[in-house]
This record gives sequence, structure tokens and C-alpha cells, in this order.
Amino acid sequence: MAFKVIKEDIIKANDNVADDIRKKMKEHNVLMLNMISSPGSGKTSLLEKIGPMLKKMDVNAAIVAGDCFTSRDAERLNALDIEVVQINTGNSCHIDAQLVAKSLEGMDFDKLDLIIVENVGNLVCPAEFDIGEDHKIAVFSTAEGEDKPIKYPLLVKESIYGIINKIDLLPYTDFNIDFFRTSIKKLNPNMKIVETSCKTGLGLEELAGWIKEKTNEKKETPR
Amino acid sequence: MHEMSLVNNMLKILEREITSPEIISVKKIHLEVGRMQYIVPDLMQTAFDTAKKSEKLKHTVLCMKVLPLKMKCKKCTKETSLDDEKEIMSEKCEFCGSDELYVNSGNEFVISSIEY
Repeated sequence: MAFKVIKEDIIKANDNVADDIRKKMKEHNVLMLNMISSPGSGKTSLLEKIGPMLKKMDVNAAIVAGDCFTSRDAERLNALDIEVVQINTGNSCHIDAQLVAKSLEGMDFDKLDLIIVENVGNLVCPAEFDIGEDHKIAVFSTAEGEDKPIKYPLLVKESIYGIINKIDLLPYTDFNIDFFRTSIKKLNPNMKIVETSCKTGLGLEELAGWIKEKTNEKKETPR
Repeated sequence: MHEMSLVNNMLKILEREITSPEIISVKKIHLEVGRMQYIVPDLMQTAFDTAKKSEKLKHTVLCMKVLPLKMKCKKCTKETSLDDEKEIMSEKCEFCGSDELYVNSGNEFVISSIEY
């Protein structure tokens, strides 16, 4: 019996399409964010709120919205006068790089600073797939339970920014925000967390400000 | 999850690594999987058996080793292996006793070696 040592990463082995997307985004200095959460955390509502804020900050954004059924998310976001591309993911539980590549066809990257991919509502699968993004953003909400980070650690490990949404509901739920924050520190101490509410507006400027900052950093990155 | 797409990636690596004529039949593929990867071993084997084409892989068995989580200490920077996931929130550094630990691994998925 003989051994051959290989030591090669399987996950990265076939990310050609994701790498092509990344290359294209780098060529045009466009930032791509991948927004991941369970269904109902408020991804679309957050985008509805920060879309106009980003426009005021001179960030030219496009949104790629993924949904298994209907185009309800895209219809809501269309009202913002921002370029929106709807992906119908059908039975797929996540958006993959091929779908993103298709959605980017026809976009004028010279006119764009930012693309936000609103992934399918799912805490499991989207965390496993590279779609060529610069950063993954994890969205949680106070209506879900403070143990979501610890139960879905891969998403936390892979994301640099975490949003805890529906913070206005905190007095009415048993959500333990200290446990939530501590568990995120245990999994990914570098993750920046913001508390947001689409009802009261809390945290939205901070979120938009962070996105603007990252967009600027990308613009200044050498091609 | 998504064992099939991982198997396809694995086969791409193997295509390259088993071309040597001295490799006639691959007996085992040793995989190291981080605890945070949501992989089901039986499903991996089934996906592998379905997707493989090479004669050299006809009798290949996948051996998956799940790596325990490693927690790094913010104070002394040493790593502790987490044997029981239930302790993730309460684990203390075995070197300096600090509770400021964070998970420093868990998302690996590597072909480490093959036996032929």
C-alpha cells in the first residue's frame, strides 16, 4: 500500500466562475456584498431603507435579488429607482456563482460602484458558496432567537459584518442580546455588529456609512 | 450539504493526482473536514460513487476525519482543542485560564492523502 500526500482545499477547487466575477469587479472597482439571512430577517426592508441613503451618498448601486418563487422582492426594490435584477432560483437553496454571472450580463460597470446580492433566505447553504463577493454580510433579527449564530457558525465565520435587525422588538421578545453578542465574539471576533430597525431608523445610517466606506476602499484599490 | 458539488471539486483534484501509471487502484481517499462544514459522510460516499468515472476509483472508499474545533486565546494566543462543542461558550484557555477564546478553525475541507 502506498500513500500520496495531497493536502488540497476542495472548497476552492472549482471556484472558476466566482473568480471570474471577482476579477471583473476588481477591473471596474465595483464592490460586491452578499447579504445572507434566514427568511424574514428583513433583508429586503433594509435594502428598501438604505437604497435611497446610498443614492444620496453618491453610491451607484445595483441589487441582485434571489427568490425561489415570485418576484416580490425585486418589485419592492424596483420602486427605489435602483437597478434591480431578479434571479429566480427555483428549487435551489442558494444563489451560486453561475446565477450571479448571468445576472451581471448587460450591467454597465462603469456606472456602478456597488452590487448587493440579496441571497435566498437560508442560514445554511449560502454560507458555503463563493459568488465572487468582496464580503458576506449576515443578517439576524430579534424575532429569531439569540442562538442563531452558534447554531449556524459557518455563516458567522465567513462574514465580516453582522446586522441584528428588528431591534425595536427587543422589549417584547426574550432575545438575549448579550448571549448573541458573546457568541459572535466566540466565533468571529473580527465581525462588526450593528443594531438596526427599519421601523425606527436606528442603525441605518451607520450601515449605509459602512457600505459607503467599503465602496470607497474598493474604488481606491489598484486594478 | 451539497455533497455532489464538493465531489465534483474533489474529482477535479483527483483527475490530476492519479494520472501516474504507478497508481492502479485508489483504495482510500483521506479527507479532513472542519466541524462547521455540514457534510454527511454517507451522502459524500453516495455522491462520489455516482459521479466518479475513472476505473482507478472503482473501489475507492472515502475516509472522513472531522477535525475538532480549535479555539485561540486572545490573551496568550495559544490554541486549545474543543473536545465538546457544548463547551464552546464556557471553554477556558488550558494555558492561561482566560475565557477570551474564539474559534479559529472549523471551515476546512481538504483532501489530505490517498492510499493506493
